[in-house]
Order: sequence, then C-alpha cells, then structure tokens
Amino acid sequence: MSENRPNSVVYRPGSPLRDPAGLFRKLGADLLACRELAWRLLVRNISARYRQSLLGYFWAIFPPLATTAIWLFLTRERVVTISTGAVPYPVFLITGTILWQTFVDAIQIPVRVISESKSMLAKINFPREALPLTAFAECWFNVGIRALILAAAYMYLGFTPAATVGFAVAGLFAIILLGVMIGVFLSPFALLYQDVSNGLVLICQIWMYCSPVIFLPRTDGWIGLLNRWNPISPLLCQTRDWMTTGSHEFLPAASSVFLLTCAGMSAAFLVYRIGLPRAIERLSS
Amino acid sequence: MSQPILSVRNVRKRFCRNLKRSLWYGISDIAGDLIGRPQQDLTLRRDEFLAVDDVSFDVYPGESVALIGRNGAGKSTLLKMVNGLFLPDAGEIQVNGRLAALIELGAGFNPVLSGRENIYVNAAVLGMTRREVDRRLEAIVEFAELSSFIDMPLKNYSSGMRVRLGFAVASQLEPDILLIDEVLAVGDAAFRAKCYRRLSELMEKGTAFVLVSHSHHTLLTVCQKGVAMERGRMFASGPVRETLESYESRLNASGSETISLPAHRQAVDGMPCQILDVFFRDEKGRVVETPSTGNCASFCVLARSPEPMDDVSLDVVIRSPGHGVANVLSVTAGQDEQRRSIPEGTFEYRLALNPVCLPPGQYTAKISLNRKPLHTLAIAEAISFNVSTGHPFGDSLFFNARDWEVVAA
Repeated sequence: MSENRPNSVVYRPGSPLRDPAGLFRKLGADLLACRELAWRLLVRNISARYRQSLLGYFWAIFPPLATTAIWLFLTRERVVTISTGAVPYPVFLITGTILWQTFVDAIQIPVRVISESKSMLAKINFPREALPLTAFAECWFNVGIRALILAAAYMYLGFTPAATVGFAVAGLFAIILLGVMIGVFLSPFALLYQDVSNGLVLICQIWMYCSPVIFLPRTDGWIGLLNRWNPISPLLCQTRDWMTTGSHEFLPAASSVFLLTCAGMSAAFLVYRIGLPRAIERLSS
Repeated sequence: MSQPILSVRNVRKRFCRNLKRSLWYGISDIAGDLIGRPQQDLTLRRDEFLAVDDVSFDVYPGESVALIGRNGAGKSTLLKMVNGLFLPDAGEIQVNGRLAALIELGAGFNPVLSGRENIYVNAAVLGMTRREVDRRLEAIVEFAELSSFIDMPLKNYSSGMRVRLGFAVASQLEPDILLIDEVLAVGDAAFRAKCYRRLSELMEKGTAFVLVSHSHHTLLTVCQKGVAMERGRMFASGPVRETLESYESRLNASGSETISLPAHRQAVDGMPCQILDVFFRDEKGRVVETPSTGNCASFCVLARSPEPMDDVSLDVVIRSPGHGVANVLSVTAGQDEQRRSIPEGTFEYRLALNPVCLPPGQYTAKISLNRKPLHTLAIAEAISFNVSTGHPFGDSLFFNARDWEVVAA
C-alpha cells in the first residue's frame, strides 16, 4: 500500500527461491526502504509501552536484577559456591544476567513484534522487513536502559570496569544479532502456532542454565560439552570479559560465531520473506 | 485501448476448511517453498477447496470494476492477492502502477497514543514519509473533523472517530488503482458523503477502482464493469448492470422456489404455540410460491394454539444476504396496534403487503408470535423465500407504488 512501490509488479505462484538473485535484491531494497517505517513503529511501541505502565522502564531491568538477587542470596547463604576468579561474584553475576537478558530479548522481541502485528500483516501490504528492524532497534533501546543500571551497580559495588569496556558494544551487537536471527527465523512459525512463543519462554529458561551466565564456563563434563557447543557462550563470555577482566580469551570462538550468525541472518530473512506470506494466507479470512 | 493497470489471469487459490489442518499445510507450504517445489501446485489436499477458481479480468486506467458475490464467494481473497498479501496458487496478477487498498482503515493504530501520533504511524504504514505527513497533517486533521481531539489518546475516540481518522490518512494517497473492500459502509451519512466526494475526485484524476460492496446501488453508481463470483468461480463479467442482473437471477435460481421452514418446526421447548407453515397468498387468496415485486400478497403464518388468546402480535423481520445484518423490513402487529385474538387449534395469521415493496431477490425471515414484549408464544427462524420480478423495477432499493399524471396549471 505504499506510494513508493515500484510501478510494475507481477504476482506468480511458485517459490521465490527460483530467482535467488532477484529475491536478495528485493530483500535489500525493502530493507533500505523500510527504515522510516521501522523507526515510526519503534517510537510507537516504546511510547505506548511506557505510557500504559506505572513502573515503566523498571520492566526492562527487573528480570536480570531478580536473577542477580536470587543467586547472590544463594551464594551468601552458601547453598551453592561459585568461583569466578578475579572478578567479584556480584559483578560477574549482574554483568552475566544483563547480557543474558539482552540475548533473550533479542530472541523474543521479533517474535512478539510480529505476532502483535498480525492484523496489520493480514490486511495491509507494507514492507514487512520493517518489523524485524523495529525489533532490532528495540533491543538496543533496552540495552541503553540496562547499561545505566549496570553503571550504577558497578559504582555501588566499587568496581572499575576494564579498559576494554568499549569493545563490549561489539559484543552486544553480536549477541543481539544472534538472538534476532533466531527470532526472525521462528516468527513465521510463531504466527501459525502459539506453541512457538510458549515454548520459547521455557527453552530460554533451560538455556540459561546451560550457558555460563551465573558461573564460569567449564570445559569438563556435561556442562563443558554444553558450554562448548552453545553459540551464545563465547559471545557472552567475551563481552563480559571485555567489561570486567579485559581478557580476549574467547575472541576467536566469538568471532567465528559472529561470522556464522551473519550468514545465518541472511538465511533467517529468507525464511521470513518466504514464510510470512504463507503464514498470512492462513491467518486471514 | 492502453495497457491495463491491473491484469488478473486465471488466478486460483486453495483454502482449507479445517483450522488445524490449515496451519499444518501452512508449515508444509513454507517447507515446499524453501526447497523450491514445483511452480504450480493445485492438487487439493484433504479439506481443501478452491476459494478462487480461474478468475480473469482486466482493469484499465480510470475504470471502476465491481466484484460481486455473496459472502464467501472469494472476493476478499482475490483482493488480497491483488494487494500482494499472498501469492496465487496458479495464474498471474500483474499490477502496472501504484496500488493502494482501503481494506482496513487505521492500520497500526495504537489506542494509548494520541490521534496525532497515530496519524504518523498509520501514514508510515501506508508508505508516506515523515515530511509528507508534516505537510499534510493539517489537511488530514481537518478532513477527519477532529481538530479539538487530536491530542487525546485514541482509546477515548468513538469507533466512528477512529474510522474518520483512518480514512482521512488514507485519503491522502493518490494511487493509480485503489482497492476498496466494504470499508465505506461506516461512519455517519455526512462523513460517508465526504468520503465519496474524495473518491470521485480521485476518479476524475484517473484513478482506477476495484470495489467490493453488497450495496448494488453503490456498485451501479460507481462502477462501469462487474465481475460476479460464486464459490470462487467467475460466472459473469461485463457491463456492471448486466453482471448484477445475472448475479440476481442466479441468486433467485439457486434458492428454493417455495418458502422453506427449517426442520425444527415442531414445538420449541417451553413455547405454548407452534408454527406449522409459512407461505404467501396472492390478492385472490391463492397460495403462491413466490410473491412478486409491486403486486399485492399476504405473508401467512399457519400456527396452532392450545387455547384461545387475546392480544397476540405477529412479528416479522426480513433480511437479505445482500444487505448484511441490516433488516430489510421489520414489522410487528403490536407496534401497529393491530394485535389479534387467536382461537384454539389451527389458525392463519396474515400480514397483507399492499403491495410487496421488496426488490426481487432472496430473503430470510424470522417470525414470532408474541403476547407481550418478550413473552414469545412461538418462533421460527431462517425461513428463506424469494421475491420475483413483477413490475418494472430498475435499480431502486425498494418498490414504490406510484401514479403518474400531468395536470394543466
């Protein structure tokens, strides 16, 4: 329904994959064309969310703070003992949970944004790439809020971050990209089946305990195996190290995950672009 | 003639009746597309049917085409494919020009935000840039007649106000072809007139229209061409008047010839009386299969009562598939202060229509016998009947009994 739409289009049956070059060209053009719409939707989502809520931005920081509080309590009471090397445990913990929450957001926000746009998708032809873009930007908005909380926490705990803390932005970028990739990939299916959103919540909870969020990464045993094959693990550890110890230990692994994520992102957008009209035809009517 | 602005060629689309299966087919279609399955696949899987079956038509610049058909005929599905929401399963749709659709007004509206903020969101969804909206904001607010409410949250708007805002934003588009699906049946009369004025401005500028409406009056005044569909198939196309006529005659032919009472005509639980039959009598008192427009006929209800009763009213509500949920006719003997006494046993309650003013077509009636308001003695619903063509009728909404004369003045 855009006035800027190209002047001639043909709708034909069959998979758009038969012309991959054309498909990627259109995908790129649409991604460029929808920036303004994405921005508009972002402003709408954020202002609407916080206008109808008494506690406002609190909800963006509550989950990591709660996890931190629980685990601090558990370690103080010596229910569990966790060694985190040079970094004080509270710092390690709050940094890890905030990074983890950023990742979970990045998976869930695209799914949420797209599900919430159901009726719009079913009735209006607009550049649909705007929705993942909006989700991506919303993740950064949340990162901004959490960064303030983290800074306050560091100050309170009397912790000085490592000189490499600036690199953390790159780490966050990789974390968000990985999450959004998963979210974008899942969203056509989430439009069809409610189970996807429900399942995501559960899976993310389990996933957290398979990731080095509240403990140091291990190399031995089952946890070691899980940590090694867990794509978020090197990204999370490297970003946390940049913020706390300044070590580059996980950089090679994190870089390979990042490169794979970039490739995966194109695949996810492909699934999105092909899958969405198929989901929409099942929604409408 | 120049190149068509919209060309629909042998388009087909499958749909599934069963939701669970439909969703599963959705997954398998996505998988099929991702592995690049054959270009055309028209095998009908279980519970599937063709919602659009071999439809072809062209729309030329400046032309208006009516899509005619009953609910579920496939009109909206076809419009959605033309709008590019999803692809056809067979055939081809070519659009040469900027296309806009008035299918849903106010897309992307958020109730918490103010009217002004929502204008920006809605306009962005419709493809307008921020600068364009800045320039047109005043015109939009003025068109919607909402200047004093524009900074109020949308959730405090009435539904009519929301529609006005939605249309005001959409009215800023200047497409080459505009798809309209029933959205104009909303708002008050004055605003509707304004919408039509805006559409006629667009028409003068050469915008082509594809219009879905159940109002034959609208279709006849706006469109030149018609495409009539039934169960996904196109059975008539051409000049709009002829297409509408063949649609109507088909409607009449497909319906049953006589009045049919639904199967549950036996006494409804707890109802003292029982409706046995419903039929028409002509002016000579003969039972007729169909009354005809412009001639006198009586709507007769044969019923049985266990005892004599006073002050009984016959209520008749008549609807037509062409008019949605609105009543075509709703009359009660009670409101006319014409309540009647009924005897014990079988009796016939007659409503004389002098003459029958309903246009030819298919109708459904709901009748009830009532003693007091809400005290229902008997009820029968979904009684279908046809009215056939009697007097010359034209494209009026109803038949008006009339005389013509000229007197010297």
